[in-house]
Parts: sequence; structure tokens; C-alpha cells
Amino acid sequence: MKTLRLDRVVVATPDAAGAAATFRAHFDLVPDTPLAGSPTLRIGGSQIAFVAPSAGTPLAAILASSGEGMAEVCLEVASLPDAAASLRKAGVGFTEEDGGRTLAVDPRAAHGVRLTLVERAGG
Amino acid sequence: MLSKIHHVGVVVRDLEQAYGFWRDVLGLPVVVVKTVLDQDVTAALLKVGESEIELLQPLSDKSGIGKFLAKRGEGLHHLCFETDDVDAELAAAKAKNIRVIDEKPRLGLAGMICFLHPTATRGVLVEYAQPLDEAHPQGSAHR
Repeated sequence: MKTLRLDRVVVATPDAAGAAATFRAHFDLVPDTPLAGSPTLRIGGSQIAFVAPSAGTPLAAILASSGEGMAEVCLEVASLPDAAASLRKAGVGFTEEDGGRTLAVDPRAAHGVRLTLVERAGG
Repeated sequence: MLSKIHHVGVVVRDLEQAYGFWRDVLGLPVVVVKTVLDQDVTAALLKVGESEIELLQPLSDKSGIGKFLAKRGEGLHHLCFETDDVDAELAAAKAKNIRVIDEKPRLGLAGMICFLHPTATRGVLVEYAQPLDEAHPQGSAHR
């Protein structure tokens, strides 16, 4: 698998706008294109997205069990099909999300981390 | 000025076992490994683009990382921003009345570092790091 960069970190919170405002005020981060409607800030080549998760989603489960905080890391890979093949070969479970544009790795394989993999156009 | 995410810290039970996924499956190269006895932790930095994943293995259940592992299990631990002036960032945080953990920067694996208190940052444990030079520094202390 060719993993290119840290695409984004996701903060799970019941108050996405408020959390994003806190990070803007504390760290002078620049707003970026919202991630699926969630407020998003840019730092370097990565993003921090603040998500108030919908009930029944993995992020909602993390928010319920761990409280507000960092809940997901997303890495950009060169090729999603290649990444899927590498995971299968290693016996690592994963699910397709976002219409097949994201792979969510089984957190048990990723040492408790909700880890998603994404391929960007031109990446 | 904060320039990028320097690393994301992940607590693991066993570094060698963790390499099997983060290094061998994801293909992230290990660039630094260091055991810090006074912090009861062994840490490894794995490169991913301009950032890194920091794997933290506690050496006892009495350390901060060990307590985290016992209470919450393996998983995400902290988010580190790189700065070119950690003293200025810490002073700016204090001026904004942001609660901090470290009153002054100290030497860590990523350079001169300090931590802010997660109650001030929406439950996210935030670290500032000022690398000592272009190459990876060889810090003698680490959280």
C-alpha cells in the first residue's frame, strides 16, 4: 500500500460549530471547504473536521463512549483498490463508506483507532 | 505560527505488534524509536507525508500513557501541531487564558514540546512541538 499523507483528523462533538470556533480562536486556523457540511479548518496540507455525528454512526458510538474529542484519522492513499487489496492480503477487515470512496479499517486492526483511507483525484 | 500537524499520537499495547499494521500494511516508515525510562514509555514516529504517526507503548501502568491504556484501551491519544517558536505559542495560549499542562516547554521526541489541557480544547489533547533541526531530534524526555 502506498500511503501519501495525513488527509484529516476528525473531532467528534455535539457542537461542531462551537468546537470549530474554539479551534479557530485558539490556533488561528483557516476555514476550509466543509466536509459533508461539517465545519472544517486547514493546517498545512491537512484538515481538522468537526462532526456532530448522526445517531447510529461509528462516530456517534465513539462520542457516546469517549466523549468529545479526536475520533478519527483519515490517510490519503495512492490507490483505493490497491489499499483494499493490501488490507485483504493482510487479513485486515474493512468496510466501504461514502459510496465506496472511503475505506474504514476495522479499529481492532488499527489499535483502537477509527482509521479511514481515501484516494484523492490527482493524489 | 502553527505550520502543520506534526503528528497524531496513538497509544498501543505493544510496539512490535503495532508495526505489523502501521508499518507493514500501511507502508509507513519508522523514522525514530526511543525509550524514555523516566516517562516509562517507548515511542516510535512513522512518516506519513509531511506528518507522522506517533505510536506510544507504556512500559508500566503507572505512567500517564499506562493509565490511559488501562482506562481507555488502545487508541487516539493526542494531536501535535508544529511551530517554529514553541515559547511564543505557549505564551500566546496563556494570554488567551487557555489552560495548559506544561508551564514551560520541555524536551520531547519531536523537539521542544508542551501540552495544552484537553478541557480547553474540546477534549482533544493538543501538543505544540518545535523540532530542533531538520533531522529528527533525539530528545531525552517524552510525555
